[in-house]
Amino acid sequence: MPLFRKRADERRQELLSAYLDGRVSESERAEVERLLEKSPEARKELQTLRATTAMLKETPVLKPRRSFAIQPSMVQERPKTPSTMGRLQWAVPVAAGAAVLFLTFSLVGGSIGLFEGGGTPTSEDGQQFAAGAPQTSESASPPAATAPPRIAFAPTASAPPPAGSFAPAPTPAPFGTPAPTRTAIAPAGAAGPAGPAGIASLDAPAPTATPAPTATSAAALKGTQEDAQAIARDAYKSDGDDFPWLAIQLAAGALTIVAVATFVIARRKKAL
Amino acid sequence: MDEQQLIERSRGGDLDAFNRIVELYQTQVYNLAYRMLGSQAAAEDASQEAFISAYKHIRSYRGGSFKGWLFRIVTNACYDQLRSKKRAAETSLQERLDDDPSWQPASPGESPEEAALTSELSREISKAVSSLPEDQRLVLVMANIQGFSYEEVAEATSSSLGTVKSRLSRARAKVRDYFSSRPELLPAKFRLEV
Repeated sequence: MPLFRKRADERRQELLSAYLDGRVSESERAEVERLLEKSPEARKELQTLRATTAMLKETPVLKPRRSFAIQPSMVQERPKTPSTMGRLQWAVPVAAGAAVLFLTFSLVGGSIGLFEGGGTPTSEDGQQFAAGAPQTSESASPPAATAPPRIAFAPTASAPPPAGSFAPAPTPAPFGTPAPTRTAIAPAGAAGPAGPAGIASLDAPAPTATPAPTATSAAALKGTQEDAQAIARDAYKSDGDDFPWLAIQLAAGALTIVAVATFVIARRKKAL
Repeated sequence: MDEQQLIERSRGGDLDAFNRIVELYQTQVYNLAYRMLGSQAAAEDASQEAFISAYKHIRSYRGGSFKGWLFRIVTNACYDQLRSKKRAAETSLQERLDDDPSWQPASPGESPEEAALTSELSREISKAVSSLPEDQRLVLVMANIQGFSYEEVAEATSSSLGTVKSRLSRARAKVRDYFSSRPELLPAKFRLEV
């Protein structure tokens, strides 16, 4: 049925229904009466509508089975006992706050290099290493400095550098965080600007020439290097194991979900 | 004591005065709720909830048609029941119609045949009304079964007079079509010859 025809039928039906109830304006009444005069279909429709309304008026009135009078107990203000959700209301801000704290902690901490979850040797490791080195001398950084110097060391040096080129390259620390003061281990007898042996500051001018070490000192240096690598590897490994970043981030995620779920449930319960 | 005085006393917290108002309206309230919900238990719950809510909020009544104000509360209580019923999928249409109190034994003086016919007709009317959309059902029951004026229906349903006219017209047409296809159910005086 075309739309205009459907609308015309609906309008006619509405007019006839209102006409039955005497709820039409003068102009509408005249319109209906003209329609009834010329359209047998409209007359039939009015007749069936009249029969329908008459029948509906015959619908029996039901007597309520009981009175709905209000007893005082029905309208007394009862002391509010907190519901389960009410008792859990505190969980929303607490969980949300904890989640935000954890997320901020991990994101900001990671971005400023506060927590290098990959296992960069810590300053303590560096000190330990420095203490383990048999022949070292102080670099340009004084020992009393607030931030202990970091040792530039390749923790995954699978192949030790050949004797004679012992000073490891200033490999960037894992996660690329530059150490404030970098030092390199120099072999005994490999005199740099800071002295014949020891730790040379990488920030200082690099030695231009390094004499080849003797066989004895090369063996000693090799042992020292292996020790240092072992310590660094341990530091690298233990850093990753000791600081459970994954667990913290999972906890943060779980807390966020708990906060959101509690909030949604509380809102829905309130809406009901 | 007239209705206005009862309302004033109820606004002052007089529960006895309010219960007089309850007596005046409870049959209409219950019938509307029953026709909307199709179940005696649900109609009783909705009626009681509506009266309790009306008493608690009677201070918000600021004149005008008290009947319109009261039935707006009843309408909301019915919609609440309908929503909770939908959630619980409580009863099927057939179960609700089996709960029809108009199936009760005939009143004295009515022959068994007449009683059977009345009962059958009442049941079919209930079925036809139940098949309507909620907004149309509400308007049809108020205007056509309970005799509310268009203005009272408009106030109770928070809608315009035009909307009331339109919904009523559609509802009547649907009920007419329902019975046109079942002429054998109707007494001769209601026979619809389309």
